[in-house]
Amino acid sequence: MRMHFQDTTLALSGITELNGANSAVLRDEARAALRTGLTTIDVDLSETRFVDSSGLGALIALHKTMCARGGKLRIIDPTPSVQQILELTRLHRVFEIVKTT
Amino acid sequence: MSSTPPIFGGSCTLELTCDLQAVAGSCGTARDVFARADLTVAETDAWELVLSEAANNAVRYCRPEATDLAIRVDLLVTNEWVEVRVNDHTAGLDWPAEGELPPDDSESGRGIFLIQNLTDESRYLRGSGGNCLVLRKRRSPRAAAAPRDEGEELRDTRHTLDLMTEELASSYESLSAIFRFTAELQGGVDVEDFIPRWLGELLAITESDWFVLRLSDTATRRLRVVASSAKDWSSGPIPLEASSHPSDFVEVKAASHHHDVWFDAATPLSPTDPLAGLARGGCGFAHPLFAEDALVGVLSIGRRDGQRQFQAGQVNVIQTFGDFLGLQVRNTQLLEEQVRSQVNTRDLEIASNLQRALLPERLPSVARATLCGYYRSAREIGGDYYDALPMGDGDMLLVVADVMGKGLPAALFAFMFRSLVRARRDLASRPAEFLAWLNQNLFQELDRAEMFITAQIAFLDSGRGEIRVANAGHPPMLFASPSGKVTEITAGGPPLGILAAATFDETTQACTGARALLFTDGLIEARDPEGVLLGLDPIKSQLAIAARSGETCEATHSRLVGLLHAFEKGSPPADDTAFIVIVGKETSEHG
Repeated sequence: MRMHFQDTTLALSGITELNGANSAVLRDEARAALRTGLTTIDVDLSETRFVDSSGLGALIALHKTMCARGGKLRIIDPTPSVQQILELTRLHRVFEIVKTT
Repeated sequence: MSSTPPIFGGSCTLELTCDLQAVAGSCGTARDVFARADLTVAETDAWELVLSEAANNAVRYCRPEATDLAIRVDLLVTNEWVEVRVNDHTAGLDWPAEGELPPDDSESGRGIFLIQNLTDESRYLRGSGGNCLVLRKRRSPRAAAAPRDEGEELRDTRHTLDLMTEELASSYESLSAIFRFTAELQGGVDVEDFIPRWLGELLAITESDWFVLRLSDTATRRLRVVASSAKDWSSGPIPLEASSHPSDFVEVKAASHHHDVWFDAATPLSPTDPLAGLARGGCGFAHPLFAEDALVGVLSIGRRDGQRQFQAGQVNVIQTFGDFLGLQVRNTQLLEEQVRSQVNTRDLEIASNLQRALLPERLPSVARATLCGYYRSAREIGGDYYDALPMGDGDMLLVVADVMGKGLPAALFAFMFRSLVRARRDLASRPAEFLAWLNQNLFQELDRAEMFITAQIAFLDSGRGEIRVANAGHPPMLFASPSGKVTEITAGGPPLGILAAATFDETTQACTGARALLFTDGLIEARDPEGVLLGLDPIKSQLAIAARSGETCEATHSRLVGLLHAFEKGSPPADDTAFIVIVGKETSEHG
């Protein structure tokens, strides 16, 4: 997973899987990287072939963290299979999903 | 994680360590298996997610003491179906019929929803040693339409598919058998009759040769054989405590260690093991049955051919059947206990009401005699009964009887006896004939119930100043003359219900100024705190003193009650006690 900052946004990318083994790590590292003035976390899921419910849980945790700070979490370019899981669990209504392509 | 080589084409067993990393790794392996079995990408994606959810739960909620046990995952792909079984060692959960999504901001709780939405069927089988989540989904039509080429490769594939279908059919069979049996049990089938049939079917499904089922007797802490397929084998109960026998009996080991104990040529049974005769040269295992941590019993199952080891799927079926059986047995035991306690309470209540209704509220008095009665019921309801019926002209019928046995049956027979006595009081003046008639009319019922009644009938003939007595196996009537001479009147005859055509003797005694005592055996069998019986002699002595003193009937009654209490010193009566004191008068009050 890669992390970089752009203005008031923390961008997470290079995520191939978001599962029980790594989602807690992603959540904790992202939280640790939060700094004053940061309003948005963008999670790039364009390389992500697999997300399970623990991955979804980590995304919700970060979403709640950002809401508490008056910010937001966005999902960027989810792959079709991930998009399908988001829709199945109706989380597409919770996250802002951004398609850049 | 370790994985066994696929048994055939699309089947594989994965063994995961209890670790989320292992789950992620196994999902990759499963993808390969699914891809080789030609599932579509969408199907593979969905199964990967389902497996991940199921296995993550098995890891997260694993019981702390079971974290070193492998989590077994069975994958089975046929040309029509995919089945995945995840065996967990968690405390188990109530699998919902339809899992729901949690609130949108909840960080967990979507696993079951996903599993159910991505499969056609999900069943969660709970067992004492572990649970099994069985997941199935029909494959998409692309794969189901198999090409009809007869090339060598395809023939192999077809053979593989046949094998897989066979295995699937056997697991189908076991599941459907469980559901069928459940339905039967709900219909109230007798478990005793049902167990051998069920286990017989289990032998067929799992290709086993023999079984032995022992149930645990909590009172004696022993395992008792309740069903066995081996006709020429038997074994007495074996104690669960190891002190009384070598502790290497596999059934005891399985029960005390809460896990399966295997035996085969490499790990043979001890020669003294009760199962040694059955297991010789073969293989098998003892599986303990628990219901909510309480030991229900042990199911042992085996094959005669030690080379034919059980396959994982067969072991799974045996364990699942066994655990289910354990629960059913426990449920039945609980139900029986409940019914029995209800019946007992109700039974005693009815019997006690009946018994109260049997006894005359107040004994009548006649011109030539006064009467006092005593009745004391023991803790259990018995069948003691006495009655006194004035017959006109100062005559009186006296009856005392004791139905063998206790509880409701005894009280019912006492009631029947009373009704017959009252129905034929015209026979009162001929006691021997009366007893014969009563015997004839009660014989069939008493004989069928294997019960009997001892009884004594006395007719107080006022006109003649005499008492006529007949006896059916009852303790003697005591008769004390005014001088204090006490006679036992033992006019003979068998108890009612023993001989269909019994006849009875009759004795006549002058009763003017005398006193008599009719009683049931509870009086002479009263016990002191050391358990010594009162016997007849102290009663006779007291009766003699009473006769010489010429005291009232009430005084004699009190004297005898005093004797009883002084002797027993508060020890509780074992049996009902009844007696009637009759004191004849010198002359009629009416002249």
